[in-house]
Amino acid sequence: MLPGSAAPAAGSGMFVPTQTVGTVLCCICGVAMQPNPANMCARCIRARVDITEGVPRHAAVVYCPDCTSYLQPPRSWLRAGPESPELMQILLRRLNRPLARLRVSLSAAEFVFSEPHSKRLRLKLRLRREVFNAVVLEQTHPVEFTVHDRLCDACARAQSNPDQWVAVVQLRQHVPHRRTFLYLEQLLLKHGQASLALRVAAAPGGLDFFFGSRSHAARLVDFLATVAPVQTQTAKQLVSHDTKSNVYNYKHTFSVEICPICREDLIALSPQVSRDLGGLGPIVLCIKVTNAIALLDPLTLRVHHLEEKKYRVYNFKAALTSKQLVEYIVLDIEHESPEITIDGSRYQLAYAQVARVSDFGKNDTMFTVRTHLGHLLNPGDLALGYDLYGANLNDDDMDTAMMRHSLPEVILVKKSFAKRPRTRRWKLKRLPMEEDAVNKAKGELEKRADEYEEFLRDLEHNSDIRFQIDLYKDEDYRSEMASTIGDDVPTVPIEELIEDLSLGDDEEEDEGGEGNQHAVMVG
Amino acid sequence: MSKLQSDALREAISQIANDSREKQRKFVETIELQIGLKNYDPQKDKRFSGSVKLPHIPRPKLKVCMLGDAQHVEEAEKMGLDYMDVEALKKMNKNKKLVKKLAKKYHAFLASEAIIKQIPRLLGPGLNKAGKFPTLVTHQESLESKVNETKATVKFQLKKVLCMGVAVGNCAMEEKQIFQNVQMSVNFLVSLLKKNWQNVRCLYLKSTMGKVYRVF
Repeated sequence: MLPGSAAPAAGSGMFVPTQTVGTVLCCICGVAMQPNPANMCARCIRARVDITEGVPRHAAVVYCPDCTSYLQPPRSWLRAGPESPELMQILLRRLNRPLARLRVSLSAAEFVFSEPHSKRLRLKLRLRREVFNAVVLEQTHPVEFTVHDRLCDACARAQSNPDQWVAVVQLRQHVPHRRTFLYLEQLLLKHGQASLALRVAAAPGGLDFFFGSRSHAARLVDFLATVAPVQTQTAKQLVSHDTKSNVYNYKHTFSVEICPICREDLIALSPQVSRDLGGLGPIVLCIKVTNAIALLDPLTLRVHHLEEKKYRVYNFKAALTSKQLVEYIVLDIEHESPEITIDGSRYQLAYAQVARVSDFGKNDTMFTVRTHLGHLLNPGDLALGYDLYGANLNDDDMDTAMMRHSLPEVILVKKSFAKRPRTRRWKLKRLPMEEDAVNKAKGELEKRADEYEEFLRDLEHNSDIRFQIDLYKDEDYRSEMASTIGDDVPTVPIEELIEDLSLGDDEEEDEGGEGNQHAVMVG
Repeated sequence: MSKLQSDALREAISQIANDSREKQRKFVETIELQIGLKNYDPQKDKRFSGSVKLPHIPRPKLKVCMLGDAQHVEEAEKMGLDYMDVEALKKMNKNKKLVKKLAKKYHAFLASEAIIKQIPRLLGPGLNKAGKFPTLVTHQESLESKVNETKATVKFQLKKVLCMGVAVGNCAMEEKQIFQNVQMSVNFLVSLLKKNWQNVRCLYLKSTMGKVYRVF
């Protein structure tokens, strides 16, 4: 009666227990099968239940033919090659929601061949779902994707108008040099604040940053407000609008003006400003510029920090800037007070006898002045300072101060070191910048190179500025052992340098391609 | 213009001359102008220094040393002037004692154009501390006239104290010459001061071994 049961052997003496393989009949077709909770054979379950019901067989994908990238809704575009893992990921992400809704899981997927120029992409999926009680069914399911061609945002902008921008930040400082922008450039590179800019252009008196989004421009403006005393104004211009759907297109302009006081500038305060600042001055040096200006009275060593709002109230200008520094030789130093520390910088009052280097060999003029650099200078050193004795000043407050007080003939600013053309073991990165035609006057390039060299020398001498900036190792540097013997010029120690990221061969080709794409966009 | 009384000054000079004539010394006495200042804070106010050339040489026996290049050394040798060249200066090797001895040995120094640039590095602050930083000599002017000019120059330099003294003449000079030297010195000094005559407390004239006569 029961299939599979065997009768015990008649002649053997060993007792063998009865072994029975349990089989049941399918409740639909009646064939013998292993028991399962559905009580149906696999063929009957598959015939009755279609786990691919509801799973889409057709889908669409948007493709940009210019840069071979696919749209990942809502706005990002991902680059993917034919039948690549990235493309598989993009296509499967289109199906994630229906599969999740139907509680169908995906166990395998593969591409089905389609011709290279075809506008169809075909996938074969292996889907798995639990039907009835604890019965898991697996089934293959083909999906066909239709490829729709559309330009992505960047390519559309590049094709329609390469100069298309939404917001511009006009960074300006009305001083005759560009040291501030060299420093800000390094800060922007370190903090990655300008990486979203479509392009950066040099303009008379400053830089222009063009952005594709207003929020990116606002982010840059906020960053600038934390590192420099800036004054900001905004404006917007209507480009186009749709009256039916209430859509407007604007161009936003942020005007960011940095205050014209720079480090090492000499300022003559008017009597009212001097009184308001507690008797500071009337001659002060600017020693530090963050979002506040630090003013030092070199005769009394008082330091006052002036914020941007208070600066706008007084609105003084620099009487002498660092371009007008004169070189002096120190003949004698007498220390007046012990060395003190203010705001992390060290000062010492001293009387210095100095003579102009240009006077040496021509006359015997000497000056006895009080200086705040007593801890740095020794007899025989060179120093840079402002020559009030021989300067032709065009400043009303300076004239007032000269009449009221007996001003010193010289204000020493910093120590000077021998200038030697020298290769450095470190280097800085630069922002890619466009030059406008106005700046291509004769002598302008040499002036820029000189200012950049001065900026590098300033970094070597001043460690406070250096800590805000990333310095990189120069791979092409060869040590000059002979010239460094006995050299007391300050240099950057090697542990402060950052190893520059160098790409391999494969990535280099890709980098080249990226550059080409960028060139296409910009051009 | 000048608050110095001419009669008082002449009387003082005359008495100094008479005193030196009455009691003869074995050397020529120097007449010195001594200055006291007031209303002046050495800590706060600007220090000054200046030099003026007097019409008559107050100290003709001044010892002058030439720190020169090859040409100036040759000229100094002809004149019988003491000289040092760059090698001699380098041998000192910034030794403070040697520089001090050099400063004490001579009253004034002259230096060539090429040498004067190196002096702060070769000698350090020693000469300057002694108030004897070299005077510049160029090749275009005569060394002898420069030496005489150096002897005729007096230097005013205010340091941390409120008094100064300069030599303005000697007892071998005529009274009129001493008078002119004193007048020019005092006028130049007053022009250096911030408040001019308000900063002058007193002026004295004195010979080396004689009595003090107040002229202001």
